[in-house]
Amino acid sequence: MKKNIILLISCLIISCEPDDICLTSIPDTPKLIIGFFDESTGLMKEVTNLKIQGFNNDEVYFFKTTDSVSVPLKNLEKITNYSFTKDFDENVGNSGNSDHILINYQYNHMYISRACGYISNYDLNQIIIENDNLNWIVKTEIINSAVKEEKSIHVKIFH
Amino acid sequence: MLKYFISILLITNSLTALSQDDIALDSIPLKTTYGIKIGIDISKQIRMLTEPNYKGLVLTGDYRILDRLFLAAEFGSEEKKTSNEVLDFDTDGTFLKLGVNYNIYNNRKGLDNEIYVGFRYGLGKFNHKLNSYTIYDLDQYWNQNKVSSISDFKNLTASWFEFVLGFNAEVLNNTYMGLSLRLNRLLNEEKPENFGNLYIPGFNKVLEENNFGVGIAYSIFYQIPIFKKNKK
Repeated sequence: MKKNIILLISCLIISCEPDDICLTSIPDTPKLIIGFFDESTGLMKEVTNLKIQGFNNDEVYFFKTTDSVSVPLKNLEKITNYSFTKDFDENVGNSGNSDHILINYQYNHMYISRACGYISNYDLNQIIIENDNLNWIVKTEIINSAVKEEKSIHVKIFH
Repeated sequence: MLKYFISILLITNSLTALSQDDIALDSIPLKTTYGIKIGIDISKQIRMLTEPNYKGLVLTGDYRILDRLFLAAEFGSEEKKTSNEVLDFDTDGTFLKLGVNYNIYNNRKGLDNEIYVGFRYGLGKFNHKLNSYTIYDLDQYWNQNKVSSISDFKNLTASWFEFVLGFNAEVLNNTYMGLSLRLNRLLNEEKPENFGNLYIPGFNKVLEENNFGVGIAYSIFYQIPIFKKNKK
């Protein structure tokens, strides 16, 4: 009996604690999911050669033809700016039609665990498309203002 | 003449041996010293040498109420910085533990050592100061994951139960050295808002997967004898 207790205690002291590893099964900070829709039919519609790049960010985030996309929001600022360029041609600089999107939200840092730290959740306030007289985006609509998970579309963009 | 001398020597020798036995039988083995043991858990001082961001002082004591049963108490304070890849916080607090030890060791005559099992009920009051944390975000596009903002979580409390297994050996007259291992189970905790009690002074590291924890104490005691009582 006594031996068993000593064994149990030493196992607990020595053993690697699962607590210290952030398991991949735990969801990370959610991204904003945007779906693209046809302005007249209201059905999902692809955007050809869509290039997404953050303002003041040298890296292109996304470049593909798609009908939906998820983009990360900043964790320490209430506004994230992106340029969404339609019909972008990799070989031609400044090609396609570029629209500037401004996403305004509140962020909350939520405690998860010792190993994972915190994640962000967001509450969307507004999506603003900067008017450049040649916008390919007609309008936007917030479907789900609480960005807490990545299960469904948060914002619809009509074009 | 020489023959007699050796015989006399043997007889006196055996006589002195006998008389010593007599004394031993009379006084020491039949009495148990009742007193207060006061000590310090120097495992905390050892930890202070090896762990730079740790400070601790734990005073410990017990009082014999029956031949084999002791009331035991520990009082202490700890300060510790915890930092890993995603969190950096400081904890400080005080705690009190009360319980009993039961000596399961059968001492040889005249010795007063203990191998004991026991339990403690622990109560702690503590504060956390979160210095920085990381947002768990697999996407590093904006690279805004390190957050350095100080949050204070004050006057939190917790209570726990400890199972204790240890020994005390009398190394000098009335001076004891002892080692004990503890298996702790958290009973109740006041959780900080949007944070966790990952370290509780007195309890030690808290695992989020379960309510168990472990501890160790290495103590030096001095016993203040109060009275001696015949063993039954």
